Amino acid sequence: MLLFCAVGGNSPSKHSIQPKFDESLIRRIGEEDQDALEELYIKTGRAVYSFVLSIVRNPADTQDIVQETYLKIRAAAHLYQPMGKPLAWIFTIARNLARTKLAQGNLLLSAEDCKIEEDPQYSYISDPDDKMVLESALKILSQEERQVILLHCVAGMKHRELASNLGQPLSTVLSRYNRALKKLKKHLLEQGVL
Amino acid sequence: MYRKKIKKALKQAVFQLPMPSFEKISNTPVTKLLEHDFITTQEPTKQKVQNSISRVIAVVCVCCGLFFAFGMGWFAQNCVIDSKIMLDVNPSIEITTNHKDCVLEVKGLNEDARTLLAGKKYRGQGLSQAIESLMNLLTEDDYLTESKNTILLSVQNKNTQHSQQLEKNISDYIRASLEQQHIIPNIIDQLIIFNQEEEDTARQYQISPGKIRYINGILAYRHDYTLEQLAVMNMEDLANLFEDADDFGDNDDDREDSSDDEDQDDPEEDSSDEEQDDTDNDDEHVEKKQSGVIKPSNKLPQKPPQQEDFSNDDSEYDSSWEEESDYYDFSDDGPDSVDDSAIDD
Repeated sequence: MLLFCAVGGNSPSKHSIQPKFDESLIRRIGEEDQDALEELYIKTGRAVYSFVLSIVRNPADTQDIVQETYLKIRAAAHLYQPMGKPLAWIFTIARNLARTKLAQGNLLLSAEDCKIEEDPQYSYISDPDDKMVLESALKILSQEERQVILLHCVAGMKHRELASNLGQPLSTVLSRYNRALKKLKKHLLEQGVL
Repeated sequence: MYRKKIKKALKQAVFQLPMPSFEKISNTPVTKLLEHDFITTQEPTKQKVQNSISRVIAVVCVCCGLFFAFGMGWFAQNCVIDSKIMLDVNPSIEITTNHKDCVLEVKGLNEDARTLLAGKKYRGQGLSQAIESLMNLLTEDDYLTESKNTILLSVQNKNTQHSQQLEKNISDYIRASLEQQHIIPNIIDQLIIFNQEEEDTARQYQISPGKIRYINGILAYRHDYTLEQLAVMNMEDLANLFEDADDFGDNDDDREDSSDDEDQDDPEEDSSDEEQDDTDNDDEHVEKKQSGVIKPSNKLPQKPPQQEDFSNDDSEYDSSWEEESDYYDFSDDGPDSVDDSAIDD
């Protein structure tokens, strides 16, 4: 049984865990199967985190929302109707929770207010260049571009999976991804990071 | 190169950010929802919506297809022309029927017929009802009488068996209708498939293709008439010509022999000539079949044979010479030659 460490992130493995799983996991979670919940968390946690981070743009809120997401999954798993896209359902829950939090204005920090290099939340990031790249991504990209680039680069989701789970055309996903990379490249070159 | 760097940097950065504790997630008590709320609601995916729409479209298409198929079937059964029936007296009338032998249309092909049928509606009627009505009209206007009773019945249908049945039925309807008027009809029937040339010619002369076919039969042997002359004749006269046409064989010798036979009036020779005529008729039947006629079932008019009665005949007939020799030899004045003075007497 694998336990996921809460403090200090893990170094990314060479082969990212792709959030692919069987819908039966959700049904089992509804039956209070802890192993199923753990398996789901391992497979989808990073993807949900990247997704929420692209919306709220700060790690603390992201952490809370991700936690609430999985609690909601536990509460509603028995009501889940198989539709072939369980990850899309999880993203829906995460998005609704993030929007609720944004609407309530209960954000701890805003990306415009605080610079990452001064933000203690980002102190876990050892490499300053990595920090700069993340800050640039959260600052200059649109929400859709952030979603696509973080889910692809961090969670390892393929463009087709993104298109399917986000409910967007593949061409849209590809164009957003390329545009995001171009923006980041230009900005980072100007900043002298690259 | 920069892409890889950016991707790697982002991945490393986010992976180093703290994730929520699984233990906290698994150990926090949760209340099971009775139904989805606005957070956990499952939105129908676009694919599902598309599938639903596709399913609806598919059902609609199937329904349309079924409707179209049934519609076409109904149309084929009820509105498509299956048979064409032509009645020629002098008015030329065309009746079209569907697969169920219900009348689709009755139209006049010449002026007399159009006048006869003015204001009349026959669509949807049964064939017997329509035929009875037409026979009544023809008798009322004296196109059909006890003496003028010849009707040319032409039936066209791709199914030979159906054609024959239709021909029989219509003949029965005609006889039954005219029986009430004390008219015994002389029905000349033919089962044929018309060609475009006949239809065009019929349209030109405002008669039925059936009549054209009949006239062509006459013209094959009667070269002293033209199509224009025969086209305006009524069936009574045409039938008489047709009977006469039998006397006009292909062989000119036969024509001479028949004329000689009439003069001599020898019963035995007459019967043999009739047999020869019958043989010739059979040949004509065969020839007609080979030319594409399905079945000229009754080529000759069914007139009762007129027995020649010489009892009251005032024609000049001198029987005295029968006692003389059988033939006159004019070649020379031999001992058997008859005295001319005896003949004059």
